[in-house]
Amino acid sequence: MNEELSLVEQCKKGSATAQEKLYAQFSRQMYTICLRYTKSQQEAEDVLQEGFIKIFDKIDQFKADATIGAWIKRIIINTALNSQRSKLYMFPMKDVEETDDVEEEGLVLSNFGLQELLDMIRSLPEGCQVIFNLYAIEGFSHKEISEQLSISVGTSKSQYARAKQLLKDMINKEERRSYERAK
Amino acid sequence: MSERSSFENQWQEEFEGAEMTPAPEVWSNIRAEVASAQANKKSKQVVYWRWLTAASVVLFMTAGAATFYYYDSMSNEFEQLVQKEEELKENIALLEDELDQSTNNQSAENSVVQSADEPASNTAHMAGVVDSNNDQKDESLTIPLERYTDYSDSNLNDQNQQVINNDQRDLANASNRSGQSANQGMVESTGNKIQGTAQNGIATTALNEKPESQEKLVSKSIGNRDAEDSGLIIQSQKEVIIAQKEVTSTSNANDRSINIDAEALTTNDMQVGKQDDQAMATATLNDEPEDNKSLRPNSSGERNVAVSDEDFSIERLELIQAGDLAVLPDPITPQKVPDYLEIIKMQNGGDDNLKGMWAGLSLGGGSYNSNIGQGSSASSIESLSISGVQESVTNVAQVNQSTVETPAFSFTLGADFGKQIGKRTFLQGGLEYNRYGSQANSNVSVADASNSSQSFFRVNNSASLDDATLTVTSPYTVSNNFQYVSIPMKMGYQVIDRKVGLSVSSGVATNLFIKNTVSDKSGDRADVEITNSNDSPFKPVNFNALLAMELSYRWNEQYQLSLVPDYRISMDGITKTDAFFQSNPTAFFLGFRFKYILR
Repeated sequence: MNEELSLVEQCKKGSATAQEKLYAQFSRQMYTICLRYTKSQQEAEDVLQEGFIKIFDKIDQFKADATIGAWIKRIIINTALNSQRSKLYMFPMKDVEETDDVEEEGLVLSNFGLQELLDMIRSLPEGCQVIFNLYAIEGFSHKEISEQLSISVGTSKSQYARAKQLLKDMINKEERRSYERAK
Repeated sequence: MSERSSFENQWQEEFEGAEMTPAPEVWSNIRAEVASAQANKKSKQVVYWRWLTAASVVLFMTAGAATFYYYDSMSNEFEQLVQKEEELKENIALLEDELDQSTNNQSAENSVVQSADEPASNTAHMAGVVDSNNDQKDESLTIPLERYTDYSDSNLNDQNQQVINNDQRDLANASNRSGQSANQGMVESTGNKIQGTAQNGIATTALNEKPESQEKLVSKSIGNRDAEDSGLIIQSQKEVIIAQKEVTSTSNANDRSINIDAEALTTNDMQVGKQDDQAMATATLNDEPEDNKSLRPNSSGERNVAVSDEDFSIERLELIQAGDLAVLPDPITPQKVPDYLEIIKMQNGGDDNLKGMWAGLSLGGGSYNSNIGQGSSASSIESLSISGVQESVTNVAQVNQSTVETPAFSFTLGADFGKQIGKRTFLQGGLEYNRYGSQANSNVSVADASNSSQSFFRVNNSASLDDATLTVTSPYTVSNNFQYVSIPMKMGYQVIDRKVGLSVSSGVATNLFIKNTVSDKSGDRADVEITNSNDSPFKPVNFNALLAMELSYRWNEQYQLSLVPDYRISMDGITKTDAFFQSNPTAFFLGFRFKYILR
């Protein structure tokens, strides 16, 4: 923690070495987040680049009220949301009837690799992808998501339900494929 | 759907701590962009400081030029006054010279000796002047004119003419035994043409008075004159009337003067003309009349020496108009020339006690920077929370997107008064109401026991912290407003004091804290007010350092409008030492002031 704070102080002074160290420490984790919110590697790298530029630009505003990792993650997520906001506008989300929970027994995600899970998420429609990330992985509530994306709570819930259904279908499909391959 | 299931938890666990390596070019691009941004920032700062420096130079040059022009104009006025005074003095000196001259001329004119009852005595006894070997300048060429009496008979014209002719002859035959023509003065004889060559000499005549005969010998004192001015010929062609003259002389071996008190002296056709160098002396030196004082030196050293007409040749004659000698002008009393300070005082006028006093109203708007710094716990606007929420701070901080305070609109309204204490210095005080504002964004709020949602920045002091719940919300804007009563005291210097004026001032303001209001701009959350109390983190009294400039326009003698930019910086901070955050705010205002100048 003290090392992180010291690194931050160096970055505030504009030290290139400190900036590189900070990037090296958090870039991989943040890149994964960017991959979850975007459709391609290129897009994810653009979001990562833009995010870290913002981080170094506003590093002097960082206060020791939170960890530097949390602060960086928040900026990266906001950057990713901003990059997707235009797409969300272009494809306005509509309320989807909330469906009943699908049978979840037997769904084991540990059978899948990280890249496969990423591919599943990135194959979701843009709106569903964003809401799924915010709700399922980041842990925001539907109310918070609705306020952040300027949508209704119902839209957030319906879109998440759709994402969940789609993911389950993908998982089941993939499991069946694996079973048949194993045969 | 409102509750998380194992599905969501699995996904969260799978991606927790997941890492993938981005392309190396990403960092290169980031590095280049950051370096470029830093360079731009520095160049902007340099440009900013250059503009500020240029503006300061221009301002000071303008102020300096205006001050120089002001002082130059004042010094010119002073020089003009001094010059006037000198001119007046010169005029006075000239007039005094003329007065002396006219006095001397009058005495010369009064030296006509004529008796109404006696024939012209053919006399213009001329006393010798100076011995040839005598270099004393004070020794005089005396011309004891034999006698004169009142002439009241209008038939004296013929007699006078005869006297004049005789005198002329006598003067022509007079010789100067001194031989010091260069040092000889002028001999004058009223009624006679006299020509003399005198340059620097002093010719004085001694007055002999013989009370028993009621005849007075008039002698005349003639002052030093230059050669060109030494000649004086008075020729009367008509009757010379001397009403009453009493000539007295003070005998002084070194300084002889004649006081002539002529009540009336009128001459008809008295002319004094410029003569050639050739002698026209008509001085007559006759034998000493019996009733005249001896020309031989007396015990006091005076002696009358016969003078030749050449001694009295005059190169230039002055024209004396009739009546010039009739009335002596009153001595000229030079008017008092007010000195520099007096002129200023007269121009200012008015009661000195009220000099340079004014009262005014001011209104201004500006920006306020709270400059919240590190405290004992969380800083930034979040740290306004009560310290009891420590446990939740960490959790909240992970999702808290609150931003640092930024300046919001602030204003000041007040009454001012001032008094000039020196030529260009003044004292200024007042009473102001100040409202300072700042704002920030937050996405966290606190609901107290009553379940009314309040902003995270402040929980009601009476709320139970244990019952408070923290929730992450969508971002909202928080306004933070401070209200003070301020008592500023400043000392200033008037750089330019014309119709358009410029002054600079600095001082200290005492700020009395009224209250602090934290409010949600959207209105979804209740306002929180902090007043003076033991629990308040704000000091009841704090101090600001002030720096101001005033650009004024004098509407007329009584009203003045001003533009006042001023900068305020907290000297001791606005928070108590045991507060969990520190704030040393600064503020910049641009105000307007309306002044009423007391007279």
